[in-house]
Parts: sequence; C-alpha cells; structure tokens
Amino acid sequence: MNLLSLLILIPLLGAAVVLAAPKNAARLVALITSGVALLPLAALLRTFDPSNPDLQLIEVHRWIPQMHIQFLFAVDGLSFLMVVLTGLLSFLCVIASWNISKRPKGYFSLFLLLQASMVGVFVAVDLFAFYVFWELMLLPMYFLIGIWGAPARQDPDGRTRGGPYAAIKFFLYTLVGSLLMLVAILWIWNASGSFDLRQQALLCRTLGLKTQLILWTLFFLAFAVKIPMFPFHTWLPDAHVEAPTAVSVILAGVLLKMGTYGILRINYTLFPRATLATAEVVAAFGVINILYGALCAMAQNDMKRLVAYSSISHMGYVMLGMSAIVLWGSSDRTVIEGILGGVLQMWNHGTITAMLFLLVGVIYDRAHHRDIDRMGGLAVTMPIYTGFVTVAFFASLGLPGLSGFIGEALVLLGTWKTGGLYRFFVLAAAVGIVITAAYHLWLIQRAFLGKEREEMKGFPDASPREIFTLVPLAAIVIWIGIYPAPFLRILYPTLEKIVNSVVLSGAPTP
Amino acid sequence: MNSLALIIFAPLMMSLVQLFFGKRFRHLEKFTTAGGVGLAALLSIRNLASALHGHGAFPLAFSFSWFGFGGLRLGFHADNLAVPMLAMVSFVSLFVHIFSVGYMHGHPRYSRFFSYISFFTFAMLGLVASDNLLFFFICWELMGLCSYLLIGFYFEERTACLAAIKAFLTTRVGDVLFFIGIAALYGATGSLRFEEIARAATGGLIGQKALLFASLCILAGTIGKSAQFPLHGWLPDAMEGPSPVSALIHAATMVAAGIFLIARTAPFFPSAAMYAVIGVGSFTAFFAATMALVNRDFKKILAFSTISQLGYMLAGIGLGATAAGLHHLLSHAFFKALLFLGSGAVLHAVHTRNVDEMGGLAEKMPWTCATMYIGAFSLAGFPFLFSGFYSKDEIIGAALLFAAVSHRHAYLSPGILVAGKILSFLPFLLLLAAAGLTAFYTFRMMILVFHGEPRDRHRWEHAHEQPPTMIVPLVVLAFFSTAAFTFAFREPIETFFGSGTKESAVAAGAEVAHHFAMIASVIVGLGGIALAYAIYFFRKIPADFLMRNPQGRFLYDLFFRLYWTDEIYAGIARGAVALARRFGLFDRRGIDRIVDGTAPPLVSTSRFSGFIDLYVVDFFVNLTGDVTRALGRLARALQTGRIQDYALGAMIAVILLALWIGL
Repeated sequence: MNLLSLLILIPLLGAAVVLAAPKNAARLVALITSGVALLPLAALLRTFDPSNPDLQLIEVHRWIPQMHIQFLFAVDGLSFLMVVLTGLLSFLCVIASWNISKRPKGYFSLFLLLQASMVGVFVAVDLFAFYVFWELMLLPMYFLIGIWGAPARQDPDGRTRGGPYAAIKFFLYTLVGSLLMLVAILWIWNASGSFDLRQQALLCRTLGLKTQLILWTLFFLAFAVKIPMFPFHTWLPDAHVEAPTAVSVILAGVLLKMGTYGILRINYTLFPRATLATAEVVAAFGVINILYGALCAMAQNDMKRLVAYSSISHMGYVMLGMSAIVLWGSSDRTVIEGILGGVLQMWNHGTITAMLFLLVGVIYDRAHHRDIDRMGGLAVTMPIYTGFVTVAFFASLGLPGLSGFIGEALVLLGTWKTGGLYRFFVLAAAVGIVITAAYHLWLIQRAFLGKEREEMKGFPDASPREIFTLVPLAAIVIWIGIYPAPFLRILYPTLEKIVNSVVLSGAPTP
Repeated sequence: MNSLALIIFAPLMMSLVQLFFGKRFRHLEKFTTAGGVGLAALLSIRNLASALHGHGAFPLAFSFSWFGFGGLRLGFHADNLAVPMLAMVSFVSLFVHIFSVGYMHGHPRYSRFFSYISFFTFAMLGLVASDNLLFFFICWELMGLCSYLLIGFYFEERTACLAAIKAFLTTRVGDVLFFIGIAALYGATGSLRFEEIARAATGGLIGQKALLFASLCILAGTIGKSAQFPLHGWLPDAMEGPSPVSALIHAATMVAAGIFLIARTAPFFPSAAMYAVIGVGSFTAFFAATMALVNRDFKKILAFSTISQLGYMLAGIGLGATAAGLHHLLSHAFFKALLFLGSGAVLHAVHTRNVDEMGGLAEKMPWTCATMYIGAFSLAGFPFLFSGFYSKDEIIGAALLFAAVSHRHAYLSPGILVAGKILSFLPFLLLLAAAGLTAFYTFRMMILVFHGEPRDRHRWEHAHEQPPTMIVPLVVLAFFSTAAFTFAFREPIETFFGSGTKESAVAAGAEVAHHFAMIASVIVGLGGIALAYAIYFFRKIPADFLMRNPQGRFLYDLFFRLYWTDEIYAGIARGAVALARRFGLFDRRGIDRIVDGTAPPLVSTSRFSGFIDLYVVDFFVNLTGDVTRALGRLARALQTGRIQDYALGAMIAVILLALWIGL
C-alpha cells in the first residue's frame, strides 16, 4: 500500500471527476473525495511508528531517471502531523464551502488540486518534487482568491483592493521567494548530482560556513515569505480578508506552516552550521513577529484582519521556539523543549486559527460585514456560536487547559532554558502575551458582550453544518490542552533527532 | 482513582453536565453542581479528620507522565498544606452554592452560573492539591477564566464587561511574570515539582541570583492574583459580579490562591525575596484600608478590606509565620464569605450598592444583620470571641517579633543598621495601624447600612428578609467566624502548617512580643470601633470633620479616588491602544506602501522595455523585414517574365564568364 501516493492521487483524481461531474454534484464529489482521502490517513495513523525518529513509509517512483529526478515520498513525526492537519482541514473546508454558488465545478476542482499539492509538499523528500508541489500549490490558490474572493474595489484612500489584487500580491510574493529557492536547489543539484534530500545532506554538511550561509539564506527567504515573517508579511492580511472562508482556513491552517516546516526540513537538515550561526537572528525575528503582529491586531476593526494579524503573532512563537536548540555558550548541550513547543504550536495554530476563520465566516454569512464596531451582544443572539468563539479565542490567547498554552509554554520554557540573549526574547514575548490577551478580550467585549444589536436580532445560531466543522477542531484544542502527551510523543523522537544532528554536524570543527 | 481524584474532579464533572444538559433538566439544575461540590466537601472533611488522627502527613496522591517525554511526572497530592485548604474551599463553595440557589433565582443564565462556579471550585481544588508548578499555573489561569466569566456575568452591562477585562488583564501581567519564574526554575532544576525544586534550592543547586529572580517573579504572580499593590485595581471593580461570586472567588478562595502560592514556594525563597513579601504585604494592608475608609459602595468597602486582609496574610508568611498567615487565610475565608453573602442579601433586598441609599435595615433584615455583625466583629478583630482576632493577632505578633529580633537580619553594613532597625518596625506599625482602620471602616459600613434613619424610604419599604436557603448559609458561616473556629482548628493548623516556622523565634521573647502585640491590637481595634460609633451612630463627631481643612480634603480625595491609580492604568491602556493604532497604520501605510511601491517602477520599467521592444528591437526586426522586402522587390523587378530579358541576362553572363576565363 502506497499510502502517501494515495493521499496525493485521490484528491487529484477527485479534481478531474469534479470537472466531469454535473454542476450541482460538484460539491458532493468533492466531499466524497476529501472524505475518501481520510481513509489512507486513518491507515497512516495505524502504520506510523511514533517511536521511530527516521523517515518512514518511504516510496520511490521513477520520474525523470536521466536527471536522477524522482518522486521520493516519506514521513517522520514532523511531516506526519502536518499531513494529518492537511487532510483534516481540507475535509472540513469542503463542508464549510458547501454554499459556494459561483462556478462550483471550478472551485471544488481547484480546491482538491490544492489539497493534493499541499500533501505533496509535506511528504516529498526529493527537492525537485518538493519544488514542483510548492509551485503547484500557488496556481489553485491564485484562482481561489482571485475569482472567489471579494470583488475588486477602491479603498477610501484610493488604492485598489479586492480578490484580484490580493491574489496577485500573494502570487508574486511567493514566486519571488520560491525562485530564490530554485537557485539554491539547482546549485546543490549541480554540486551533489542528486535531488534526494538525504544524499544532499551528506554533501551540504561538508560545505564551508560561507557557502552554507548563502544557500541557507536563499531557502530561508522563500520560507520567510510563507510564514510570513516581518517585513514580508503584508500579503497575508490582504489575502485573508479577500479570500473566501475555506480558503482562509487553508491559508492560515496549512500554508503558513509550510514556511516553518521548510526551514526545519531543509535548512536544518542541509545547513546545520548556518542554522546554528543564524539562530539568534531567527529568534529575534520571531519576537518581532510576536509583538508586531499583536500590536497590529489590536488596531484592527475588521474581525478577519484581526485574526490574520494574530496569525503573524502566533507564528512568531514557532520561530522563537525552533531557534532555541543549544544552551547559550555551549556547543553541544541541546535544548528540546523550545522546538517541541514550536512544532506543536504549528499544529495548534493550524487548528485554532482554522476555528477562528470558520467562526468569522459564520458571522459574515449572516451580517455580510466583519466590522467589529457594528456588532454587539452576539452572546445573547447566538449562544452556541459564542460558546465556540470562547473556546477558540481563549485557546488563541493561550489559556491553560487549551492547546495554545501548551505550545507557548513549552516555547517559553525552552527559550528561557537556553539562556543568554534568549532570556530577553522571553521577556519581550511576555509583553506580547499580555497584548494578545488584550486584543482578544477587547474583540469579545465589542462583538459578543453588551446589549443585543437591533440589526443583529434574529440571526440564526450556528447551523448543524457549521457546528459539524467546528466540533472536531474544538475537541482537538481541548484534548491537547488537557493531555498533550500523545502529540508530543509523536514529535519528540523526530525533533530530538533533528536537533542532535544539527548540533553534531553544525558545531565548528576544532 | 482515589478520594483525592474524586474531590477534584467531581465538581468538574458536574460543571460539565450542568453546562451541556442544565437546560434540559430544569428541575435538577439546583442539585447537580451542589451535589458535586457537596461530595467534594464531604470527602475532604473526612480526609481532614483522618489526617488529624494520623497526625500530620497524609499520603494521598496520583501523578502521570503528562508531557510524554522526559521522566517528569506531574500530578496532585494532598499534603499538609493542602488538606485543610481542600476542606475550606469545598465547604465554603458548598454554602455559596446553596446561597446562590435563592440569589440567582430567575436569571436566564441560571444554570450557566452554577456551571461556572462549580468549574471554579474544581480549579481551586486542583490548584491546592497540585504537586507541581505547571498544574498549579494551569488551575491558576482557569480560575482567572472563571473570574472573568463571572465578573462579566451580567455582560449586558458595559461596566461589568470592562471590569471583567480589567481583572483578566491585570492578573495576566502578574501571571506572565509568574510563568517566567516557573521557566527560570525549570531551566535551573529541570523539574516542575515543588518538592524537587525546594530540594534543589536548599541543596544549593540553583544560583542565588536565579533563585531571587524566580522568587520575585512568583511574588509578581501573587501580587496580580491577590490584588496587592500595585496590581490591586481590578478587585474593587470585580464587584460588578454577582455577590456569591464575590464571596467565593473574590474573597474566600481565588484571591487567597496567591497567598497559598507563597506558602507553597516559601521553602525556597531567599531572605531578600522574603523582605519583598513583607514589604508588599504590610504596605498593601495599610494602603487598601485607607481607601475603604471613605468609600460609599457597600461591596467595594468589602473588596478593599479583602485586599487589606490579604496583605496581612502575605506579611505573615513573609515574616516566617506561615502558620499564622494560613490561619488568617482560613478564618478570613469564612468571615469574609459571610460578609459578602450578607451584602448580597442586602443588595437583593434594596437593589443598590450605595450605602447612602441604605440605613435602618436592621429591623427589616434581623437575621442578615445579626450574622453580618458576627462577621464584622471577626474582621475588626474584636477580642477573644471571634476567629479573626486570633489569626490577625498572630500576624501582628510576628511582625513585632520580627522587629525585635531584627539584629539577626543585620546583613546590612553597620552604617545603615540604625535605619534598618527603624525599617524593621515598619511592618508592625503598618499592620497595627491597618487593624485600627479596619475596625473603623467595618463598623462605619455596618452602621450606615443597618442603623440610623433610612435614607431612601422607597427602597427601605420594599426591603425584606431573605428566604431560608440564603439565611442558612449565613448562619453556618457565622458560626465558623466565631472563636469556635479557632478552638476547633487551632490545633490542626499548628499540626499542618506549623512545622518549622517557630524554630527561629526565641520562645520567651516570642511570648512577650505576642502579649504586647495583643494588647496593642486590642486597644487599636476597640478604638476604631468606638470611633465609628461616635461618628456615625451617636453622631458625637461630625462625619465630615476631614473635609474642614484643605489637608483633610486632600486626604479624602486621595482615598476616595483610590490614589488615582485607576487613572494611571487607564492611561497605560490608552497608550497601548494608541501605539497599536500607530503600528496598524505603519503596516498599511508604511510597509504595504513599499510593497505596493515596487509595482509602479516595475510597470514603468516594463513600459520602457515595451517601448524599446516596439521602437528599438522591433525596429531592427522590422528593418530586417524591410530590407528583405526591398531586396525582394529588386529581385521581383528582375523577374519580368519576358523571355527576351532572360536571354539578355544570359548573354551578359556568358560574356562576363568568357571574359573572366579568357583573362
């Protein structure tokens, strides 16, 4: 059973079937496809061995043998969680897009294509295939935001906004980044004669620090756009605000993770010396993300824009945590808590932010605007909805007992343990935590508490379909908050191996 | 599964049942959560009793590998500190539940209310019993959540929402620092368990600086949660919540969690951190009492008194008298819960919190009045008959002892020894003064509410005594606010909390200090009560005597406006929002302009290249075409199609060929 190829092929096939199906059946076909795609995922859950730190379920498919290009698929603890996240969110998003009426065939077909390419990015261990999936992902995303997003319009200050603008911005930004990556990939291929990540690692680790740093930067910039790291982040609020709900969910839930995933998978594996040399810089940018994102979020009046900025802030914890891997002043004593918390935060952010965007979509469907100042008293109007809002927002602000806290707590524990400069990073991040709590609570107060608004009276509470999309996510959020051990057990061996290999081969040779 | 797990998780289970099914079983909702808490109360009191018979250590614990990596096992245990606390928390909570059945009757979110306070009870029980900093912190924050939800329970009111946010954010400042303290201890020891950290600290495995830093961070957590100066501003505002919530969360239990935290971590606090604890505690005890002197809000007076009493407890623990501090925590829990529930009963009757609109309620509400008097006497430290007297007196005694033996703390250079000696008397003086103020404001409040002419006839006429479900809890709590509490619990408190706190005191000196402190506090307390009666009951002294001169007027304003601390906080909040707006603008106008700004040059470059393409490159391309075409035209001119022309051409060619060969 080639589970990993199945995970890619099923949505691809589904995308084709959607195109062939009649217009009204498109969503049903998409639902069945993403539902069927959960089956190999379930099988993966059974066959995956969390105690094994290495790549598992390796599949090799010949592609262009003359140039040693192949489809090389495998998973380890890191990509395993991301693949599960992708499958789960895609399935929920098809349900969330149930009422798409504009060209449903195109929409669902592109959506399934997106799902296939996202899984591809996470399971590819061949850099050529990785790059192909990485670029393939842009195509459906571009059309999904551009066509199904908000219509083009002029801002009060005379600037163009809307789906097409956001789509082009997103596309160009990512493309510039990925071209840098392509240069680096070709350089390495030229030097090593292989696209296989494992073989490339053998070569790259012997490179001098300077070469490593250059290649590291080329990859890093590509990923930094995706995270998105300050100051390359401004495509994100636009893309989110203009995109339809389900696309926002995928964008925040899965696509942002590809940035940090790529850094861990490629930069950490190929360029350990450069990784160690730049760790503080990445951590510092992480802290900037935390503070800057939180402050910008506080200034927003558009609920979706606020959530978008909160994503920038939360991805900062991932960057901070994954940089804190070696004790300050030592060359070989590793710290595991930070990176563990960072990667768990990737998963947590995926589930929590998905919930947040789904929730924003629910209110947008009813009110046709997302202006926080024009809301109020929704707790009375829509109590069940408000219940989910409470879980999602408190998870997002890091309330213990919900998953967001576990990730942040581990990041802070690990970062402090690392010592030195990192302690200042923790203190700065602590300020961010307070601001985060402030803007979340302020939003809840403005939109949900207070007296019921006249124009919002009679809004129906969350429908069964909407509840169905929220319940699995809420369950995961609470589960990790109460008992994170199962998830950490999946991540621990892989991350320990990654950290050890970085430190072992990255330490300056005497 | 042992009885400890049942104590902690029964309230949680019932809370969830209530939350999800409360509305379906309307007639049952009164009993579900009270049942869970009742079970917890029963079991924890049984635990207390059997622990007493077993003399001290009572092994009841469970733990598990929570993170799933490393060897770290986290869990819960019922140790000496926890056993009496568990009993107190569940017991007070049970009676608050019973009281609320009447108090919240008819509210549309009735079942939600019980779910929240039951969930809160779970969190507090979990906090008390957790054997590690992480679970402690989790429960600590969950209580913060409950506090937020319950302060904002009447969320239709804007003031309630703002108070809820203020409470959450203010405590969050302390909480974040607390967590950094946890991270510091974890970084130094690799453990989160209290026991192991204390062992590492006493074994000298943690650097003194790191330990001091971590201790101060933990103290910051306490300052936030227990509303100590300078993070005290949220507690008076928290009175927007329903009165039973004020009784349970903002008086008896949650705010005391900060004190409990210090008691838990005191074993590894370095002495410098202990001085900070004393300083914060004794200053707050006095500071908060001054603000209670002039306030007109029934519940806010009680809130300030809570802050002040928490200061006593903190000072007590800082002074090394952990048993005294926790003794006061327990006795305070009962009499303050009583006072708040009593205030709730009064509010329920007159629908206002302003004491200016009350008066003369004693004859309308005799039971409430009588039970609240017991609470008031206890709070004021009326000698011998009431529990508050004994516990507060122990702390004041410890403060005097601290001053008396302060040469032991002469770590300072000899030059400032004298200053140190004077400083060391400060806690005693502050606490003693605060005792006098407490007695005064308590009875000012009691007289304004229950005696004199009714100042609002209409409200007075509609006032009525409360039903038995609300009176019975008052009576029970009143019983435990008398000396009965002290005689029943002094022994266990000594047994459970007392270990190792008396060893530094010179026994004889301690005795003398205690007697002296007792006499002083009796005089001050009775003086305060007498003054209150003289001013407000007998009207021998005009109530506005302070206002007669500018200095007095200033003092009054200072107290009444809470030292302008709220204005300072509001300024900070406004500043943060303004800063955020700046950043938001910068993002759109600054960074995004740059990003968008890359487009026009790109477009003009492409226009330019388009121009080049059209007029330069294409010129050459076209030129090629033109040249070709011209050549073609030329060639076409030759292709005339007439045989004579071709023949002429051939002739010329032959001649030229011949010439070439011939030459």
